Amino acid sequence: MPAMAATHYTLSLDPVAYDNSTRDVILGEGHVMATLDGNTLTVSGNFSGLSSPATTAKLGIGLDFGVPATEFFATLTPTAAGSGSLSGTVTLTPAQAEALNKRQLFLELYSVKGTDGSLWGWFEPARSRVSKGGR
Amino acid sequence: MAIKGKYLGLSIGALALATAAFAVAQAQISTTGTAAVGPFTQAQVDAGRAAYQANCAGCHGPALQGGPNSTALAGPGFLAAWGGRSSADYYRYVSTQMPYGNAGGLDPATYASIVSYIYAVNGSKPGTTALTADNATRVNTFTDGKIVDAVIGAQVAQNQSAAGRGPSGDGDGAAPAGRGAAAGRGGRGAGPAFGLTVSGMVKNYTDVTAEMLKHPSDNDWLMFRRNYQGWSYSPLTQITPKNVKNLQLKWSWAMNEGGASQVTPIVHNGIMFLSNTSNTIQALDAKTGELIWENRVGPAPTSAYGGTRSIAIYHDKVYFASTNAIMYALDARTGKIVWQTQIAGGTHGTTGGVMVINGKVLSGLMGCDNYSTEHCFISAYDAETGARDWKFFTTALNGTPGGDTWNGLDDNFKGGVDTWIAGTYDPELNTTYWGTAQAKPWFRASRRTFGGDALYSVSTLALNPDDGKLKWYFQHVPGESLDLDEVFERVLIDHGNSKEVLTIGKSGILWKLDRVTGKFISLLPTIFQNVYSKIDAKTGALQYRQEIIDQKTNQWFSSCPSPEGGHNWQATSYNQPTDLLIIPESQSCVMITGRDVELRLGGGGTANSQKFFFMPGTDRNMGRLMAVNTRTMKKVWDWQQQSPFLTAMLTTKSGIGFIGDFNRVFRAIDVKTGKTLWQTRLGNTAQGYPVAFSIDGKQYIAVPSGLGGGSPEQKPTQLLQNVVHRPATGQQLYVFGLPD
Repeated sequence: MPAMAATHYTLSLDPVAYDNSTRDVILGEGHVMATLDGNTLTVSGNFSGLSSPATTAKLGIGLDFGVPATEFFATLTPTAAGSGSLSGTVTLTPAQAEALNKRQLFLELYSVKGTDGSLWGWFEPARSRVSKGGR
Repeated sequence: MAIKGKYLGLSIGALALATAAFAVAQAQISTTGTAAVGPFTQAQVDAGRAAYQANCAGCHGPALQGGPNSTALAGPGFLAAWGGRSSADYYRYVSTQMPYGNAGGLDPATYASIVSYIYAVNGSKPGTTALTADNATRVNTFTDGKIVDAVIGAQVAQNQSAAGRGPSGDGDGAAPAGRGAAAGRGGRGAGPAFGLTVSGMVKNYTDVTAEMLKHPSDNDWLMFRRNYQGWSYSPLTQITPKNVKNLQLKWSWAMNEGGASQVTPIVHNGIMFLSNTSNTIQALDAKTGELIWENRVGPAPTSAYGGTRSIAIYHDKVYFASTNAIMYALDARTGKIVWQTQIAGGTHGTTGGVMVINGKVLSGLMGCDNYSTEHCFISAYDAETGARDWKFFTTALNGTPGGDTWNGLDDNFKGGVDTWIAGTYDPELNTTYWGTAQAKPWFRASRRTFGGDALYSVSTLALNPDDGKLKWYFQHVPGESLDLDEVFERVLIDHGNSKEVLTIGKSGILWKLDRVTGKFISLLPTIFQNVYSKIDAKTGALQYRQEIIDQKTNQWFSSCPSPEGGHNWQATSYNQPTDLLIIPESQSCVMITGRDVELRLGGGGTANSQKFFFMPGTDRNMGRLMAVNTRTMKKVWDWQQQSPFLTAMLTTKSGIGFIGDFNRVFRAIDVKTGKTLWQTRLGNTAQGYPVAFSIDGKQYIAVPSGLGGGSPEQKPTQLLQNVVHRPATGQQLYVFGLPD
């Protein structure tokens, strides 16, 4: 049988949900790429602008795109700084791979001040986006 | 909360009023809380009571009950939000984030007194040690969330309410929104007393007939969406895709600051009738910008929401429904009040504007968030006398059809179902179409309706304008539970013999119904959402994600879109020549939770807490503009940008669309392609309803800028705080035209 082609995914790291009391802490941005080859997911990305050094990053499954996970199955180690990179390789179960294709695979980056999360995002298949118009 | 500048006079007035009330009521006020002794003193509570009424009650209500855009500060909701945290956390939050528009602007002793007062209202007894900023005691160890009415002082609350709190928000947010409340400095708002402050006479005024309302002159903009069908479409053609690049400012007019400005100018025969905040109506020469008369009816706003979106004109009168729920008829020639009729009392108000049909003035109602014996309704008044003709209760009452869809709740505890956008009208069918807001509190677990549909929330209503009888209704989301209501404009479009009504709500789903029968025809999801696990395109039935169905209070959910909506009050435009509906859309999400509420009159509210985040997959673009072919219900074009749109869409017969955004850009687009043809930068957020009109053969485009409002201001203010910077003032009207 011919080997399945690797599939590529992207994830935008955006600030986790915040309110008035946390708005000054929850800062930053990032971008993550991932490739699924067989059941191996290779993740690499970068981030910047955190209000405190990053501590860890976790992968989990949300109920839907835009719904954060509450349980996690893998951990990545980011650069211990406000800006840096993260990478790692994770072996996915069939259920996790299915969640990836359903845009439910969720990544959350934590920091010293953002102990409940600083940045988060959901993997999507690499695709074209809605065109950019105004400013 | 505390408002400087223009609001200063008001605040001092309110403070004086409150102080006077305290003098009377002081003997009755005692602390009768049942919880433990707290880390504060009676003196702090007494000082905090006055400071609260002066600085906080405008948004959070005189009885701490919360409002359309602010959380309750007393009761189980407060305890759920703050009970598990330290007093120091709460003090820090209040002292750094409040008052809205003046965050951190009070002195530490005042903050401590306000926090002490809130603790006392929530059941705590005063002790002998004064509250300090760093007190680490957990809040639920000395409060129990059982509201102590005696601490509030009922007389104070009544006086504050009578003083004219403008309660009517956008019904779509959980906290004070935007920077609008800061917009209270200087300007006309601070100065003149209320009343007919500028006298004058509109010369050569011609009466607006019923026939004119049905078939308006191309030159005029006589009602909210220009025609009864709600199109926001002008037949004018002088400004074209080729010459629009030559547009230049013809005149500008600074409007009242403070409150929320989301206005629609009304133009008739060269005269513009303009509503400002503080329930101020002006008549201007629409060619020159010269003021003819001004009536500052009042009251002034005490919060940053509650904008009057539109007024109406008929015969020789201008009609507007005030933010404290009074319907006024002004003489169109002089601005003098001809009659006034109270629509509702208490904390009710109106923001959605009014419409005139068959000699009746129709108005929706806002401020239905809090439990009331008046319930929520649409009503009609004789245009000549102001006598009330009919009421239609939007919260179906027990013993009437739909009254049993609220899980057995007493009528007084059926909250919400406000109507904050004026309806549309089909003269041939003699039917008026209105959208309704969600039931309140927002969460079905909070309001205790659970699986009940809560009629007529989140519905399209078809009413007979002559008697207010319901012809049919279509409930878009039975038992809606996330503040994704469907209250916005109903657009009436014919395709051959098919008479249709289209509408799009916060879910971002474009609906098409048969407007004769109310039967579902089709739908189009236009934006990402994650709250419905199933959308049945054949029947229009929606099914919530299971965890939302199984919800409990104080449980956090992700909701995309957020209460900002995929679509909000920034109305669509139907461009008849292209059959395109052009839709301003927003993209944001929230984590949101419903709080517990007590079933007590005056209580209720929206009862929620929110945290904001960017909608995934949007690259942090919060604004999106989309054109849909209304016959096929297929998308024709769309594009997105960082800032959401804060004006309605306006299109013209010449194929141009006009729209403005949060970041002060006002632009013209090609209707067929969506491409920008021209743009300029306003002094502040383009906010309100742009209109087109013509005088002496010359076409003009008017657009307001403004501040204040609910989620459409709140979400981008939070999420774009580091990239979009706006002035604290700038409510203004700009009028553009081609060079002479």
